[in-house]
Amino acid sequence: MPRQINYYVRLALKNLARHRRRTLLTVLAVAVGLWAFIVMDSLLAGVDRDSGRNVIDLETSHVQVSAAGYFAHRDELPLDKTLAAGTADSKLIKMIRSDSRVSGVTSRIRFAAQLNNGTDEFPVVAVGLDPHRDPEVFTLTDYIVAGRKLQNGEYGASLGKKLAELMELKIGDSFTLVMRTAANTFQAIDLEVVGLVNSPHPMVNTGMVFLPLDVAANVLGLDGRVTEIDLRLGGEEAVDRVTKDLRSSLKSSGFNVDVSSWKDLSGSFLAISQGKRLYNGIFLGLVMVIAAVGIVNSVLLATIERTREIGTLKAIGMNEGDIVRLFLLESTGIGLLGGIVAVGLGIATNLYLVNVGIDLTSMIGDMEVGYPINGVIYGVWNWTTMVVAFLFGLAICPLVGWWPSRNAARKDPVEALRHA
Amino acid sequence: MKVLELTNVTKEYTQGKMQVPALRGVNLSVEAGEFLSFAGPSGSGKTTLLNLIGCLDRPTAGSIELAGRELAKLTPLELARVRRQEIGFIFQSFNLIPVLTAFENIEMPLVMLNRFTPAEIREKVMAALEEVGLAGLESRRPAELSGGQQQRVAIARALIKNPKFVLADEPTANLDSENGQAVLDLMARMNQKNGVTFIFSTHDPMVMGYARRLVRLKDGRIASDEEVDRHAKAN
Repeated sequence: MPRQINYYVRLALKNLARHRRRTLLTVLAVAVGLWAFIVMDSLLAGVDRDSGRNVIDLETSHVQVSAAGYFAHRDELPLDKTLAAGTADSKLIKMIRSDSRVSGVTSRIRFAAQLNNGTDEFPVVAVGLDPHRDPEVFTLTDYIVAGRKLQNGEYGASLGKKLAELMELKIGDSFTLVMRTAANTFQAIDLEVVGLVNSPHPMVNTGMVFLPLDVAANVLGLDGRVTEIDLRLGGEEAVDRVTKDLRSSLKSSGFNVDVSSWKDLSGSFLAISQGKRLYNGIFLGLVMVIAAVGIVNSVLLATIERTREIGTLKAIGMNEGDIVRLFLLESTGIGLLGGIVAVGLGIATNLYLVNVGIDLTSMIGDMEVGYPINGVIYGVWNWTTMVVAFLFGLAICPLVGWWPSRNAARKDPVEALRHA
Repeated sequence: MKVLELTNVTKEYTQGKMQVPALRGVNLSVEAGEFLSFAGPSGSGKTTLLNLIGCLDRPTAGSIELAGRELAKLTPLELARVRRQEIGFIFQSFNLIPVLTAFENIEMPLVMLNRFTPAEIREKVMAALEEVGLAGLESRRPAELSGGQQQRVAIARALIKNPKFVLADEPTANLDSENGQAVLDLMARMNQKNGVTFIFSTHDPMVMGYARRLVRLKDGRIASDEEVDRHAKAN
C-alpha cells in the first residue's frame, strides 16, 4: 500500500501541475481565506490585549475594593456607598497593602457631574484622585499632553483633550462642575484647566474630568470617604487569586466590602470581546465557503476534463476507492499549498502588525467605536492560530473535494472511455 | 484450455424510451493463447463485446465465464480486481496518462498489483520498454512520442502484469499503415512468446489478416467464426 500511495501522490502532484494557473488560483483562494483568518485573529487578540491594558491602566485598575452594594449599582455612580479610606493610613488600606502581591494602592471618588463652560453643558464622569498615590496604580499622568499634573488642594482639573476641544477649553480656562453631593443637594465649583490628557482610552479623552481627591471629598461632603480603592498588582495573572483572597480576608477582618477584578468591572467589554471571537469564527466560515467553491469547481473541472482518463484507470484496474483517493490527494495538495502560503503570508503580515501596527486615526479619525482603544492597534503572535489555520486548510480541502471525487469515481467506465 | 465462454449474451442500451440491441445472443468460446479478431462494420457490436469480456460492462442477458469465473456474480470491486490482475487493455487512442512518462505509464499496473519491489518494477519496465523497442525513451511523456511509439507504450502497459487476456479495441485505427503493421507484428510476437490470449476488434482488412481466428459480427450477431491459416495466406 505505501508504494501505491507514493505513486498516487506523484500522480496527484503531476495532475496539480497540469493546469498551473487554475491550481494557483485555487491555492490562492484557500490561502487568502486562511491568511485573513490569521490576520483577523492577530488583530482581535491585539485589540483585546491593548483594550484590557487600557481598562486596567486608566479605568478600573487590577482589583477594586468598594463599599458593600456599590458594585451592583456602579453604573449609577452612587455616593451613599462609600469607604473610610480617604487617607493612606486608613486601616482598610493598610490591610490591603499588607498583601505582598499588591504593588500599589490608591483611592478615588467617582461621581456624575455636568461640565459647564458658561455656554454649554456636557455630562461627564468626574474622578477625585490622589495626585501622589494615583500613579502607583494608574498611568493617567503619562498621557498629559498639555499643562501639568494635579496638586492636592487646588481647584484645578485635568480633562480629556477631546472633551476640552468639544467644550472649547484650554489650559488656564475655568469651567463649572455641577454635581449632587452625598446629601443629594446640588453643588457647583469652578475649576481651572491645569492639564489635558490624550490617552489610548477613548472614554478618558471624551468624557472624564479629574480633580484632586481632597477637593472632591470636600465639595461632595465625603470627608475622609471614597467610592473605591484601586489596586495595582505585581502581575495580571494574580488578579483572580488576589480578588478571591481579599474577599475572604477583608470579610474575616470585619470589612463589609465588595472586591471586584477588572474583569468583573468590564463585563460589557469582555462580552464584546467574546462576540468578536464568534464573529471571527463566522468570518472564517464565510471565507472558507468561498474557498470551498473554488476547490469544488477545480476538482469538478478536473473530473470532467479527465473523464476518459478515469475510464482508462478503471480499465487498468482501479476501483472507485482508488479514484476517490487520487482526487482527494489532489485536493489535499491544494490545501497543503494553501496552508503553507497562508502561514507564510500570515507571518510576514504579522511581523508588520506586531511591530508597526495599524493607525486607526487615519481611518476613523477621532470617532468612538465603543471599545476601550484608539490610536494604533497592534497584532499579536499566536502560533496556535497559524497551526489551526494550516490544519483547517488541510482538512477542509479534501472534505469539500470528496463530493466531486466520488462522482468522478462512479462514472461508468464504458461511458468514460467513450468521452471525447 | 478454454479461458472464455460466452453463452447467449445479449446487450441492450437504452436510448430515451427505446431499447437498442447491441448484441443478440452471442455464443463464443476462446482457448488460451488465441490471437482472435472481431471484425465487422461500425455498430456491429465489436466494442460492446470487448467491453463485456473486459469486465467494463455487464450483459443484459446471458452469461460470461472468464477464467472459470461467472462475471455476473462478481461485485464491482471483484470486477476491478479481475481487470487489474488478468486483463490488459489497448485502446484505439492509446489512452496513456499524459502527465506520466512512458516509464510511469507502464509501471502503473504493477504498482496497482502491489506485489513487487521498486527494483523489481524497474527491471520489468525496462525489459518491457526494450521488448517494444522503446529503450531510452522511458522519460518521455506521451506528447513527446509518435502515435506508433505511444501505442507501443500502451502494449507494454497492457502486457507488463503478464495478464491472461489482452483486449485491443481497433488498436491500429489511429496509426499509419507502417506503424499499424509494426504494432500488429509486436502484438503477434508477444502472443507467441508469452502465450497471452489476444482479442482485438477491427474493420481494417490488413489487421484482420493478422488474426489466427476471425469472428465476424453483423447486427450484434456472429455472422462467421473461422480459423485463419496465415501461412497459407502468406503463400
